[in-house]
Amino acid sequence: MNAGAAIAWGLRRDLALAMRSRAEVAIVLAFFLLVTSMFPLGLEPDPALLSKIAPGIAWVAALLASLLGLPRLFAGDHADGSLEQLALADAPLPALVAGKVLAHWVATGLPLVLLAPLAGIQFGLEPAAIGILVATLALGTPVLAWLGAIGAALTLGTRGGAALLALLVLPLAVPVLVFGAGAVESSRAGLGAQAHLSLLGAGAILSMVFGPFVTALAVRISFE
Amino acid sequence: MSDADVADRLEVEDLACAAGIRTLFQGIGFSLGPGQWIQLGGPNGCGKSTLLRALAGLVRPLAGSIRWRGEPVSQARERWHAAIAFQGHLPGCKDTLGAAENLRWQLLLDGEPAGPARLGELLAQVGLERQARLAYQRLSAGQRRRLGLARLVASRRPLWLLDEPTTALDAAGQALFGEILDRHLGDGGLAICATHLELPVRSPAIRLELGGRPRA
Amino acid sequence: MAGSGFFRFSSPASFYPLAGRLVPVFGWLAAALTVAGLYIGFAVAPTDFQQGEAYRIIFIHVPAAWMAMFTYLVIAGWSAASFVWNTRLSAMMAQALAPTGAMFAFISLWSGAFWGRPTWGTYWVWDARLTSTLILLFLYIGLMALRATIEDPRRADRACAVLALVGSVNVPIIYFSVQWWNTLHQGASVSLTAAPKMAETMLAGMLVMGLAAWAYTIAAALHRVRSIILEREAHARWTRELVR
Repeated sequence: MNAGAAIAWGLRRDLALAMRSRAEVAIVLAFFLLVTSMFPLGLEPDPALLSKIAPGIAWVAALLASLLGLPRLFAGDHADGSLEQLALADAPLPALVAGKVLAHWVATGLPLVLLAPLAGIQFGLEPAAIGILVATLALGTPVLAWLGAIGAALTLGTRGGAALLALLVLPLAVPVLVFGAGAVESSRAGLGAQAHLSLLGAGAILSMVFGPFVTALAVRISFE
Repeated sequence: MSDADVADRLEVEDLACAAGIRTLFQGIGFSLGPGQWIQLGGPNGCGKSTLLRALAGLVRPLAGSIRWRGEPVSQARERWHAAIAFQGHLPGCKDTLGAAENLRWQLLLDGEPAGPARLGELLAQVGLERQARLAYQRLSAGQRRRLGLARLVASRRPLWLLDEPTTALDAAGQALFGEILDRHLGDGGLAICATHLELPVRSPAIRLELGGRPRA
Repeated sequence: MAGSGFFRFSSPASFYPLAGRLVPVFGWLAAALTVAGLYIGFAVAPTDFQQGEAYRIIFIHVPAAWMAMFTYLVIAGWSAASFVWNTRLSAMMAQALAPTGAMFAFISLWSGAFWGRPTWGTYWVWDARLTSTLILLFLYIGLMALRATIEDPRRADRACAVLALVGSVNVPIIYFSVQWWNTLHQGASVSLTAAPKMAETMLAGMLVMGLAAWAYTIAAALHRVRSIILEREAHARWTRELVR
């Protein structure tokens, strides 16, 4: 199988699997909105304050929600032997992995991007800011997906669990958080979000180019 | 030397594998040609599964060389993967998908035709035609093993690496396995089966026993 | 890198005695440099007219931060070497360096708190260097945690090597993003990087302390790698002969 067919295989199979487990996927999205709802309860529902902190909170909630969805990516395949078969297939493993991560993003990342306006409304964000928030999430969630994929592959079969995965992924995700949330603030301050969006875009491209190879390497390491 | 001139031959020399710090086995060597198969035996924990996984390339051996058609396997990973069909302890099937669906994804991954007619034919050959749409998690252990046989039937790959292939199969299922393996060997295929059971295969096996206690 | 002369020591068995001889050398060097550095820092360097005596903590804070960062890059280097040459010892060196790097990150944060308190009245500020060092500490903890949860030593070597390399690529990006974030919010927070105008002696003091930290790291890592070697080669003949 060539790379294109391999990506298609991974994408279609994992989307078919996600369709069968719609509930699992929906839980991740509910978690996102749950986390954003916690903050006004923990602080005060002062509109000015909420509007100010909204981008940061939306981004942190997106980070946490994406962490929550990660075990779905490789753990199931690892447990039932499918991952083994992928590693032994006559197809480039990076391409198979890319298909899987793409399906994962479509099932958990893309809905997050589409749900973000709801979080924006919860916090009284103005439409322009919501627009920028959605754009940063659209560019940033693929990076999170790839960082998460590398972390998930490295921790396959270990006892560390979700906490270890979070410990590995969150520090690496700091730049995405900074530029993502910063973009909204910057555009509000009238400085425009061009630079932030370009950096996020560059990050997305880099992660899509290198992510598959590093993740495939991490998957192979997990069999040893 | 054209492809046709190079026979399907597996040559293993001086293979050694470790599990953690212990050396499981060392000095394993053999040569396997078309139509031949190895029955890999030994007590539990002696490294049969590890040997198969090392041959497949999932695990790095400590030492030794593996050559397929004269080429070292480590230098031609893709050709090697295209030549083997590996079935380990884990089935490689998804619980939430049906039997036929699982087979379909596996065949597509193997590069084999996977149209509905073909799937129906394969399932019928292994006695699962009535379970085609049943969710995989509802299949019994024996039925799951038969689904694995369906994949082997469809496989055109020359070398089969099978780990305990007849576990959970009833007598009819074991006979079926024997037929499938005989047919494969008759077509010039090769196989290495790790098992501690006697397999109902007509072709005589080369027996390879991995030593008793793991050596330090 | 050099040819066979260097690689002669790439087997754990031959490296073990060499490391043993080097530990005291670097240990004494570290001790001497620390005394010299502290002398310069606390006795020779002039009192800063802005911050008084409290600023002297930078002689610990800054070299520790440098060392934490530098050690991470060295770990990445050893990790790359372990992939390229497939040597166990490179991976063991990466493993041995991590705790010391983490320690320096922690010392940097701790000493930063002691600087912040008398100077700005608070134990913690979100300035660029402190924040980056905090994230670096998390990266170290991640490395050590991953090592701890993977049982097979060879798999742990390779997994940690991948993590260290991915992390090292990210470290400059993280530092850059934190710097950016910090300048955006300039007005809101005070900065510990607004250091006093550097008198030459202050710089010399920091450099000497930096070298001291470097020598200490080498000594600690070599000492630690000896334990790692013994643990991982426990089944080999030469270790049994050693114990006899």
